[in-house]
Amino acid sequence: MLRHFGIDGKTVTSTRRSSEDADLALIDRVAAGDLPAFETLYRIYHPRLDRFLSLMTSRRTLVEEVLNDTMLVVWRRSDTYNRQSKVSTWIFAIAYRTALKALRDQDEPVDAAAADELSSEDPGPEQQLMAGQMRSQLVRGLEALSAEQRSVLVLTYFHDLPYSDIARIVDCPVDTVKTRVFHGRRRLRALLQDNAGARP
Amino acid sequence: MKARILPLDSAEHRSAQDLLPWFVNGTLGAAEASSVARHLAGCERCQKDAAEQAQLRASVAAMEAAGDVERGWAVLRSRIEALPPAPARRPERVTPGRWRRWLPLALAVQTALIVTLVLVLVAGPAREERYRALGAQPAASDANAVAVFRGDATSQQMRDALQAAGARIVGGPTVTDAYLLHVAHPTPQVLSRLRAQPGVLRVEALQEEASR
Repeated sequence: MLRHFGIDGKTVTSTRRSSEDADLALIDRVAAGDLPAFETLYRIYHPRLDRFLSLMTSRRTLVEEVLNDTMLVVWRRSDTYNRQSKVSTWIFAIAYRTALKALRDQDEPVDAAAADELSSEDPGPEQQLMAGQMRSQLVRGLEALSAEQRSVLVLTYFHDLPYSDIARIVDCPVDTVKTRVFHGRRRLRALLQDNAGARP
Repeated sequence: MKARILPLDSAEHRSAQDLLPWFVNGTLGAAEASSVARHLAGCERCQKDAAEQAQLRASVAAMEAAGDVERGWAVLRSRIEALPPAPARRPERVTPGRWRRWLPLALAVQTALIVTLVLVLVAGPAREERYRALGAQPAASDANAVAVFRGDATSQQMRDALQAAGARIVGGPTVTDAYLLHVAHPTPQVLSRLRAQPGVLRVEALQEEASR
């Protein structure tokens, strides 16, 4: 049944394990003050955090600011990482908290133009344009949700994290994560349907 | 195959609905994944939901990150370089994860040492013992088991454990804190009962002695 959704369990598991080992080796070196190791970690996590934060907010400058604030915490606090969770879970938890704080500090509504700006940054072939339109609709839908609902949806569907990791990242019980995703995806579906219906 | 008819508010349906997002992203454990798969086979609503969620997931799967990693790194590096010098960072640490990897080997070596020391104590002195007080008991001559108690075991716990197994201490403690025991009926069941007592860390039968 998993293959029906294009998922090969064994491949996913072995890939994750080797990347977790690489993360652990890097974070040990970073904790010892190794800047080149930190640069490697930064380059690994930049695209992942960028995708996560881009779906948390459409404000590009805020994405870049939160991303670098997150990684600066990783650099300064890597010696406090205690291996109770995966390195990725620890880093995403920092990103989640940093993003929530930044969104609360800004506390301004995001207009549709800002969301459209995302897709118009890199105009390309028709397929890219359609993907961009879909993405901007999705960003608009996600932004209509609370930051708490939005983050669990993004971590589940777009970062493929298990619910136990998400519970650690957002620091709440597993059942709360399940409930947030359940209600969040229902609301997102309704919002996307409304947007599709409103289009000419 | 005959389809099962399940009410939509059944506990099984609700549970499958809760787990569907992680079924779709492929991170459920084997038991939960097979439970959801079984439910999906007979529930059209969940099949539709799963397909919708898979589509949602796929809609951003090919999404490229828009950020410029070179520029981001240049900015962050300059921020790091502008930081005041940090106190000396710790060297590479010995972490619990590494300990866990060595723990089975360490325990095996410790067990082998305990058994060896006990065998030496039991078998060795019996042959070489030249000076003995009159009336002294032959040291550990009737030991048929060896036990190690927890460091925090109380004397009451030790007494209760020995009583439960019909055992008495005939020697020890050795340098590894092992006690030589004489167990009246050293059957596997009695030794298991002794192992299960509070305060008992390890119990080993001394085959040579027990078989006499």
